Amino acid sequence: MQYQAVQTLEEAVESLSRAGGEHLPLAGGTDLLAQRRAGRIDPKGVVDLKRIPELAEIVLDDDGYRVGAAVSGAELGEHPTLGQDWPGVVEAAQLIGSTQIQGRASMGGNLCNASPAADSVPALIAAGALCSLVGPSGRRELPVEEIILGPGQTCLAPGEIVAHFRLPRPGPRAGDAYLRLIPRTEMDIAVVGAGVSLELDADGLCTGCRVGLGAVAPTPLRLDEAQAILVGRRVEGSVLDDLAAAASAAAQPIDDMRATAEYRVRVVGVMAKRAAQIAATRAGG
Amino acid sequence: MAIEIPKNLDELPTTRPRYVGRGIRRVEDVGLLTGRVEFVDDVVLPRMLHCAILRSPFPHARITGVDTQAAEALEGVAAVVTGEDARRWSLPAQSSPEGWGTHCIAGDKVHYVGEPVAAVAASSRRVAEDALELIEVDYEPLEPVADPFKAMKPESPQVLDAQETNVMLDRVFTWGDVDGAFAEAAHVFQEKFRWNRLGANPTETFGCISEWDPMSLDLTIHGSIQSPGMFGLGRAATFSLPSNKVNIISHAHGGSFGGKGGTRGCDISCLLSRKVDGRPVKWIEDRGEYLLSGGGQAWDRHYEVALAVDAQGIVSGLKVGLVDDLGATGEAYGAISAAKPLAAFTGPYTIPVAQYDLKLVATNKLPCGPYRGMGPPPHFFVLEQMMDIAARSLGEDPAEFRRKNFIPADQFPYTIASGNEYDSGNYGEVLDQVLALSDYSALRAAQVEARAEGRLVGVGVANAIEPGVFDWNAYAIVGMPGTGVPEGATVNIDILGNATVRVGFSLEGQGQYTLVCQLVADYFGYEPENVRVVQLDTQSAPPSFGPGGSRLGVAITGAVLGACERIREKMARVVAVLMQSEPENIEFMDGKFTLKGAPGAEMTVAEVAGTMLARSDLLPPDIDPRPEATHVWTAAGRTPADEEGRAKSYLTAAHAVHIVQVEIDPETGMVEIQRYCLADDCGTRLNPDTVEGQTEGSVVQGIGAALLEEYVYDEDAQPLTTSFMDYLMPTVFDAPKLEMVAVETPSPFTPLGAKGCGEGAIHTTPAAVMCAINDALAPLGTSAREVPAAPMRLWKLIKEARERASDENNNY
Amino acid sequence: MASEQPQQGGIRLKVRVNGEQHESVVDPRMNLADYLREELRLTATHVGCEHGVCGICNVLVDGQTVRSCLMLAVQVDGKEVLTVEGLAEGGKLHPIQEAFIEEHGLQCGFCTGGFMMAICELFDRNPSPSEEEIKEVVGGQICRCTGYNAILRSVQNAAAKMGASRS
Repeated sequence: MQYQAVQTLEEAVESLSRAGGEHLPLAGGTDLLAQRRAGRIDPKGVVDLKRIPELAEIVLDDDGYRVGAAVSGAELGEHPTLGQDWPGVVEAAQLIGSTQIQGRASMGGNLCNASPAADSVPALIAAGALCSLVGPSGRRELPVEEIILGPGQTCLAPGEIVAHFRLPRPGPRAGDAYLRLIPRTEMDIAVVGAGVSLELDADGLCTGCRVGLGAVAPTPLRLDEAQAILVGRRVEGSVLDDLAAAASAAAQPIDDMRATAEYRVRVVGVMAKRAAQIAATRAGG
Repeated sequence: MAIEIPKNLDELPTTRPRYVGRGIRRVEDVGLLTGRVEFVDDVVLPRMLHCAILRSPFPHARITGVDTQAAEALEGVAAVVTGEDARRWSLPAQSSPEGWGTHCIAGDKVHYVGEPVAAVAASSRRVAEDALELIEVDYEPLEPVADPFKAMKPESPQVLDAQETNVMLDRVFTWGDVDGAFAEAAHVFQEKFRWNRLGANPTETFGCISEWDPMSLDLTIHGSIQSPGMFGLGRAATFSLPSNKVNIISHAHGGSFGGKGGTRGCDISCLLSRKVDGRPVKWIEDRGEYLLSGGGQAWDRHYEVALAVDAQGIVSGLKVGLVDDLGATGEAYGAISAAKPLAAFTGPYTIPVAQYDLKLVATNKLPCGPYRGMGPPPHFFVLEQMMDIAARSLGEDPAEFRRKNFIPADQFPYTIASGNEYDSGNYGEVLDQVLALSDYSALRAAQVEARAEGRLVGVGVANAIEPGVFDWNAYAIVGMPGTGVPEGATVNIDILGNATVRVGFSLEGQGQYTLVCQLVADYFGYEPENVRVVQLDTQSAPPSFGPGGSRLGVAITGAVLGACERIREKMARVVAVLMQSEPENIEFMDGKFTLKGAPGAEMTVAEVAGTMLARSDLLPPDIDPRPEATHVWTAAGRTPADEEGRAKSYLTAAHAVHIVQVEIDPETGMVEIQRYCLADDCGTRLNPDTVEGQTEGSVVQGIGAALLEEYVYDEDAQPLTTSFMDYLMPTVFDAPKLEMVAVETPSPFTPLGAKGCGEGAIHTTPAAVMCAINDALAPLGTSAREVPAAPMRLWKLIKEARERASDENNNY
Repeated sequence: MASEQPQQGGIRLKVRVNGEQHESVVDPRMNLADYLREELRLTATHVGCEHGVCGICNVLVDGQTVRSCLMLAVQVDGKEVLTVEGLAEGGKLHPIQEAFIEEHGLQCGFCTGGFMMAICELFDRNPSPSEEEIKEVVGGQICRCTGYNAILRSVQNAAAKMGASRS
């Protein structure tokens, strides 16, 4: 196995393209090295992206945040304003593995790993995050929910890497939250997960919302029905039950040893409802 | 002057024990905390090779060919072994019941996923693993069987070719007139339970380095081995070697809990070593291997239980039917776990008659092995659920229902229906202590309020007996013969008076080296710093079984005090000669020998030892001049089992009552433990801090068992639990703050009155947590009968109960 | 390129471990745990699961806790690594080690190093952590012996000790 630590995006793209898919990008390495040890992957080489400035920094400008794909969960938490503006995204990123893993695990890695249960993805979907990709044919930008095509599969072209995520500046009365269910309180894979972001008007009525669901389909889902259910209403009572029902209806999970499909269908609704309550509280509702 | 091992702290030759009975700093800790203690993977021997093992991906398949040529040709590979080598140089593993063992490498058939089919010794582990990929094995898949009920049917696939059935044992043990008791009972309660397979998972996996000289046939094994003496005897049997050809050097190990396992991998490394002319071959099991095919998967059980209760609410009979899925073979002694409940079958209760309908069944899963508690924890889970079912049905408080069925404190020693004798106990007092600690009536009042709000809050009260100081006779019904388990210690005083104690077991975590120092310090008036504990290999050490069956604390206390007594006796003879008197006039107290009636005539232990060694010419010729003695302790009064398995087996019976408060989230099925209180009585506490540590750790393992831990196999016997993200052991967030209180009812049968306590709380915790969960569910008219109570299982029960309730409402 | 890639796929690595400078040529496949244990013979870093869950193999890299099983040795080029061997100094135990002894925070001791390294980092960030903050860190680790109560007590004791030595 070859190891290469690159300094620039161009170098990374060039190196990965040349290897024709036989080399893998390495951000935190927490998933790649665990999978290699388990014999699930055996890359001929790895390209360490940690030293590329764009991938390692968080920038706040007029358009909002640009969060480097290799920024660790711990670094997200240390940013002075990101955690206030997008607490759900930061919490979700900090659920990737344990406290110690969070020192290295990144949202870019979590996304490219393309697990249906990836914790940060539903929160990013809910946040309306855009993903900036750089590859041999240049740069392009896609909504996060379009990246993952199926378990372990992404739309990334050979040699293409995730450079950063763009998160808008939230409005004055906005909030987001991510909740997941795991049998063990730490270090576990989500049985289901739900991210919610919403904005309220001065009267506490919802003016906009986005909901992302995890571990209930081959890819994390965006729940488009949420708009119709929440917008123009208070986030409480039967509105929350309707949201739960819509989340359950959208879920198409599988049975596995962690949970039955029936359980996932119901509990993803419960998580969406509870996340919406937290998001609304954070929005000042 | 005969030696007499002190039966309680007052009999120690000290005015006041300064160390025994107190928590002191552990002598083990500095080496462990600085990383200087050597674990087996830290050991590098000259010319050492590294082993990797190729394992079957099929649960059941014929092997039609194994081609190792390409692997052998890889640079760095020294040897490859296959089933052919295993058949040439070894025998099938010994098993319980007999005849259910296989060779360490599969021959013409594999019986479970993960069974070894070949192995490589190479210059590094990485090369050895690369070589595995070059070995080609041709399999012809056979139909597997994963369900023991299917496996019992005549048309089932046959797991072992050497047998004609998958039923390893099918017997009903009846103790007393059980049919009569059930016929006369005012109430009979019946229920089915499922305890899913779980396991030990010590933080360090098994590892070993084997050196088997093909000419002398001397076999030396370094390893993380819980019971080195027995491990050595097992290797001697497997390789048809005289037992004195096998030397085991056990290293400190990262926990075991019975589940270190490793015999197959060790045997394979031995075969490889023999093939490479005796070079050392290291095998370090990785976590994936441990989860797939390591030690300690245990208790894959299906229960059907009945309880007979008379008109006064006294339990008059117990029937337990157990179908125990032991996996493919009997090599790992999973069967013992089914036999051990005989040592405490009826728990702390006076239940006069009982029956055990026991079926041990082979399936295409990993052979079951031992795990902390060795079988009784699931037994007490079912017994305590039955007690709650009876109490709830009769409208009685679960604590008081138990109390009136307790063996009264004045009836010890007490012989239970299944034959064992309990040494001592005061169950009512233990219950009172924990009721007070938990403020039980306040818990119940809070529960009433919570229920009024529609919350699912439950309080569980459960108790269990921890059989301590095991004896082989406890397992007679599954073919383990004999009685007696020796533990020896050699105590030596050097020429300057410092003490060295030589033992045959290694560090495992329970703190027994500290206990040895406490005992010697108090016996000879020393400080623990004057005492050094040295572990020897099996060919040099005094006879030793080591930790297991909650025995070592008691057994090593007997061995060390016995050796101290022998030294005192010998020194008293020496002092008598030096003081020109008779030994019976010499007294020993607080480290000094004195002459009766002669104030000022005294010698310290150091002075006597120095004199014995420096001036042996002054001693009578029949006195061995070494200030050293060995004592081998065994439990007294153990009896062979009768045909129904009844024996005086485990020497001690510790007792604990746990009170747990839980709340269940009805929308998700998640359980939160809100309070955890316990009182326990394990006799004299030789080191209260280490006892507390064992209890705390065992409670949390019990919580893992009740809520989280499960080895899942699919219906084709494929294991699905392959990482620590699948096998969920508790983290700090799953561990409640523990409130504990101790009761001390000394054992009349043991050194210093101590009882076995190392396995501890896992006997009670799963029962208590499940009692609390079922108490929370009771208003819904449903209950959990399956362990672990995973969120989705509880959620389903709640959902179905609510659907039933709304159906009923609709009918009105 | 940060690391020069010599012949045969070995990579030159310069790293300071417990204050001592090391230069090695390593197989790029080798993880940090194996490098520390096999190349430097620093065997106090134990390996528990090799997939990043148990936390037993924790070491500090530039002051940050990492799972040494999930990091390639070559990734620590130019960095500073602290292992359990670097805790005690001048024949004196570190206050965290002292606290674990006093509170019986270990039994078999196999996992303890991983806990201590994570706790070291915690104290660097936050010398007087709350119980919740301690749990966040301890919650990333597996101990099979103690049931964690004694580990929490050990961390609190260590915080008190280190606070006292600072003031």
